[in-house]
Amino acid sequence: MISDETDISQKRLRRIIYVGTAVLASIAGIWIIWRLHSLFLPFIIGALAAFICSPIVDFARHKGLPRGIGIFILFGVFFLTVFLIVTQISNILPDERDKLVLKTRLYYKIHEKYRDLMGLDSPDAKGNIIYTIIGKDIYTAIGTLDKFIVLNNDEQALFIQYSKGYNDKPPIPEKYYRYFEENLKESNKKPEDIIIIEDQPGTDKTDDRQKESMLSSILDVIELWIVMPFVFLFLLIDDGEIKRYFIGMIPNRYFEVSLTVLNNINRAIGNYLRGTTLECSLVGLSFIALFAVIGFEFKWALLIGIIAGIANAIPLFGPAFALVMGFFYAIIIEDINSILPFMNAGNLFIGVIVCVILVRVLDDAVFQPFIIGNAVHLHPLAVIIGIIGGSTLFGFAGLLLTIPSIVVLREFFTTLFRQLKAYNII
Amino acid sequence: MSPVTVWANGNQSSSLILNTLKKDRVMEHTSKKINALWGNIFARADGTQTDTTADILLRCILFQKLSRRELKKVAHIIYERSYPAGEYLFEKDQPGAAMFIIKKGLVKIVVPTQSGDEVELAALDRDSFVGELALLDDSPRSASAKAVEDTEAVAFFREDLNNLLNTNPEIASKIFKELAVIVGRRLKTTNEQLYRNNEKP
Repeated sequence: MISDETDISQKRLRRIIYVGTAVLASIAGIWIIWRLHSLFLPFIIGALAAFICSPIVDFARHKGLPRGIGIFILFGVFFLTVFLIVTQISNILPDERDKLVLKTRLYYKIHEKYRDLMGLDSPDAKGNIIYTIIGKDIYTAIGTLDKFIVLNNDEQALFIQYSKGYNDKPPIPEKYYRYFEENLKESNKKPEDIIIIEDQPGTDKTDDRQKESMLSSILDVIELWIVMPFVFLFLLIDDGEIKRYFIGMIPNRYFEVSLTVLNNINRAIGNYLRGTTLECSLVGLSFIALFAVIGFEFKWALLIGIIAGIANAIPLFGPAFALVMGFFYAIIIEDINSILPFMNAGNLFIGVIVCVILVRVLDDAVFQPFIIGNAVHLHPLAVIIGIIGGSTLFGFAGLLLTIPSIVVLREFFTTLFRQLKAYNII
Repeated sequence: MSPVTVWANGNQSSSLILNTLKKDRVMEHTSKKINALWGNIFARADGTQTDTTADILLRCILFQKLSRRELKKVAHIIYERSYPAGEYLFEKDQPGAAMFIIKKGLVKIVVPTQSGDEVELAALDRDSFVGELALLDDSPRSASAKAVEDTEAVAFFREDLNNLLNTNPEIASKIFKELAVIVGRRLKTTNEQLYRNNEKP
């Protein structure tokens, strides 16, 4: 009797200790996750990269290369590639002066094209039939776009400084300065109205501030992303140890079902992620090749192609990005050098449309069926709701990771319920 | 038909064998035969020292052709499990995913009957293995494996063996070859038993 009572009190004590420990561990876990939430994106990207690359390590092992050496080579090649791509993109990305020129050209060309299309070439013109029907609506739409590309007062002042040569940059060509003047007329201003605050001679405060801020942001980025290569490396080295540790904690009744579920999910998600990576690369390469063929300057074809390829991870975003950027390029470009004799600056935007349609057809008819298959097809509505919800909740990380997360969760629950039924657990 | 056929041919024959099992005398006789069969096929040299996973694998016929280095690689993908007495390693009709090698304890192979009882087909102790056909596919288990003492076992997962085909094809092919030998030997024994049973008046 006494022994029974002791047993019960021991059981109760044990339960209290277990629950207490679990609650404390959960609180500590949530606190740690909250404090480290900025590391989520690099951590997840590192883990995904390791997951996607693990078959390469297996292939190296299959070819007789020791696992350690395979991982070392993969690690080197992977980060060298990332470094090269980032360096190339940062070289292509426009600096402050180029951005001002681009905005000026875009603003000027959009308004010029609008006037041409609406028959408003001369100040006295009353416009054609298109203008009568939809002219005002289009002008309103252009007005919305203008908010993003019009130069503000500071930028106008900077443009004038750069036009004469500033910050060791060459002067802005005369033609673009003329565009700038024309753009100012839209807001009834003249270059003389713009007040320029010159830096005091002998002090380079703006320059110093810029350098300091750039250095600080580079350090911030390094501090944040330094975790990524470590996650990548250690997950590849791990070779299933973490999985085995967690499987070890699973009750015997669920042992086989857990192994099966984990394996099926691993295979489905692996196929999806690797397929998507390959598909995105092919879409990006197709854009680069086609845009270069129709006459885009190669560095712009490369930049648009790379970003459109990455954006293609979110369904329809890649082609949409390529279309918009291609249009902007076609609007501002005045002279192209295409290997196709019939292409010129005037019909370049038709070329852009054809390229985007061609890549979409290739993606739908060739890349997706052969690379990804239909196993992880998502309904377009789920895609749109997922992207909006993800980006609202988690910003850029949400935008990038919502679709893979939906696929992972869907595969997880589908496989889990199928296997639980097969094992008569539910 | 004897319960051995169930073991060899999987689920297809399970209804037939359950009918046979109703005849108590036949069942008892056959059960003894199966015990003898398992005992003969999986007889082990006695080893009493504390074993590493590689040692346990080495004593299992499936892995006997592997070198020490290869055994260590296989040991790396093995799961160690503990089963208290009365707990099932796996149950009949569930999809098979892993093979189990008994490290310590006693496991009985049982088939549940319609009355809710269990008919014992075989008893397996240290170094015996069970559920090896799960290494080939996920067809349902033809019987249940139940720990009758506190048992420690190591589990070898089918998909890990399939992955070995990619990463270490020599190791995987040796294991598959031994598995084929075991299945072939068992089929031969079954055929002989069937032949002997049919010859009896």
